[in-house]
Amino acid sequence: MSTGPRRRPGVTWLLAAVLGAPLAALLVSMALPKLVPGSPDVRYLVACIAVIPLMAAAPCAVLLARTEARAWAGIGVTSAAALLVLWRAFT
Amino acid sequence: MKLKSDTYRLLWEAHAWAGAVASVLLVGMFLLGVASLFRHELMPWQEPRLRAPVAADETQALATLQSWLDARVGKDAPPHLDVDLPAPYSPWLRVEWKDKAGERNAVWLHPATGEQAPERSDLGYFLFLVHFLYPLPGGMLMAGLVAIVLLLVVGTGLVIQVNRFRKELVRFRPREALRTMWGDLHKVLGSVGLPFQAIVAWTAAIICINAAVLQPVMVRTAFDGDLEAGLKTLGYPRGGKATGESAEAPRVATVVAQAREALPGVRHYRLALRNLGDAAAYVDVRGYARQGLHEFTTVRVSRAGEVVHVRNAGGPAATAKLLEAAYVLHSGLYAGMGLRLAYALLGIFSALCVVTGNLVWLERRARSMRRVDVLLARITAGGCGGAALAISAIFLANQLLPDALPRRVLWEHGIFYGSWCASVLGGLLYPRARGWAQHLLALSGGILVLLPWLDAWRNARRVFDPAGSPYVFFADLGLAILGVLFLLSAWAVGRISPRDPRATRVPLAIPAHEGR
Repeated sequence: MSTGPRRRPGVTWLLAAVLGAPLAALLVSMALPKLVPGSPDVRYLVACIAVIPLMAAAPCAVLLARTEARAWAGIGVTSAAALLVLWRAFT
Repeated sequence: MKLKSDTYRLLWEAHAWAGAVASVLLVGMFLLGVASLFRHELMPWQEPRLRAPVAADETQALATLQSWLDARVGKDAPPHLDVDLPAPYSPWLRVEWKDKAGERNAVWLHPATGEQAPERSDLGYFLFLVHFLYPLPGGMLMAGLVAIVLLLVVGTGLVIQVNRFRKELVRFRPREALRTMWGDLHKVLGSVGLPFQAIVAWTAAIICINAAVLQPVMVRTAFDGDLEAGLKTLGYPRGGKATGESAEAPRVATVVAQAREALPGVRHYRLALRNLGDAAAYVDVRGYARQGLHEFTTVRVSRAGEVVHVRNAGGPAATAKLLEAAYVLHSGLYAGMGLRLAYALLGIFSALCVVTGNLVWLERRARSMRRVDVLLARITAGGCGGAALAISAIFLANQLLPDALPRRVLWEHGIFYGSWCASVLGGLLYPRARGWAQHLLALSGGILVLLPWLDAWRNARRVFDPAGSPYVFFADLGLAILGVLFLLSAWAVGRISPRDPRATRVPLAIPAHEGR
């Protein structure tokens, strides 16, 4: 990671941290069992264990992003991937 | 570990903002959590008919229940019915069902005489549900998010204090400037309560997020749409559907005997009767088993008296064990009353810690209050004071609402919500946030301190009478102590001196390291 100066987070960056990141983390937690190998119980267990650290860490990761655009791009890509898995699970 | 100045500042801001934004709900949930720890023991206080001891053993109680069921099954009995068996805190049988309109009904049944009385109040259980924001739309999800915010606040608080942890644990300077005093109090309460807060935040987040969003989705992603497999994993498989063939009620004495034989040493406390009046009726006998962090058992007995399913404490699979352990850890069910008292004390400390955190924030910005700071001050005053008032108001409503009032239980709920909302609204409109908080806390404290005398007068008994019902004695004591705490808080808030906004326009800086 580059050590150049970081911009102070603006309102949309904070929105990304407060709303976008936890939502993306929740979607990932819900989609995770579909991707994890193992019995249904183990897959459920993985989601239960992962959801809280993911939701707590995601806003920190967004605030540590180099730029606001990167933060939103990360949220977008992660959410889209999770939604794709969930869409396949529900159809 | 020495933090960089920028990192410290970022963590401090994250700690302060996250705490401030969630503060009102956190204070409310901590105070409601304290009340819901004792929701069973509160029952004789909220329902005076449970105070007198009942001379009836279990055989008699089950015979009374059987007569009640036999008189109704095949006529007006609902298909699903829950019966709470007599317990030391509630010697009557409690029967609950939902009518055709989906409305909850509950009656008390005297175990010896069969006398039936409508439920007067569900105060303790309601406070327990509101602790998880369950009655509000999307409330469980909101409670889960608040718990995650609390986890973030605890984590950032730990990192910014890590070097000074031992010093902050015992340093309190009440004669220093207010900012220092609130800061010291916040750090002492935060340090003392840190393990407790971390545990309740993590467990609450798991309980609420799982119930609100994970479970419905997991059926698709983890169990490939097989709902039955999901329920079996948790140890609660679905029962059979009604066949349409009429039949008499299950023999409850046989059902309880079968449950006791299947799981000896477990306290069976509830019968969940399903498909009542049908040949496919069955009873789930719920029980408490003290097995470390695993507690809840179920024995399913068919109408014919055969055991068809047994759920041991903790359930059959790892996920069930995790979720149950989280609930037991959160509720302090893994040990006795001493632990629950410790939880109650730590819950009050945690609520106070959140409030003092907001006061530190406001004191830091007192010289140049921006609009957001004024709003925070007003919402803190109305919301946190309102939580205290709402709890006091529902206890007062329990005493003063007439027993014959139709939908009395819902009136109590309405008074709780109404007083909290009115307090927040008042905080936004009242000229001074400090004055509003002081009024709310003083009023709440006054009500709670007077409640034991009011109850004693209404029920023609001596106040704080150790010879009477121990549950009422300790409820009186708890209410009076909570009331005194609120009155002390009102006095402490009154010590905050009004500031001259012209003194300076420069807010106090957040130091890179608070190394005083």
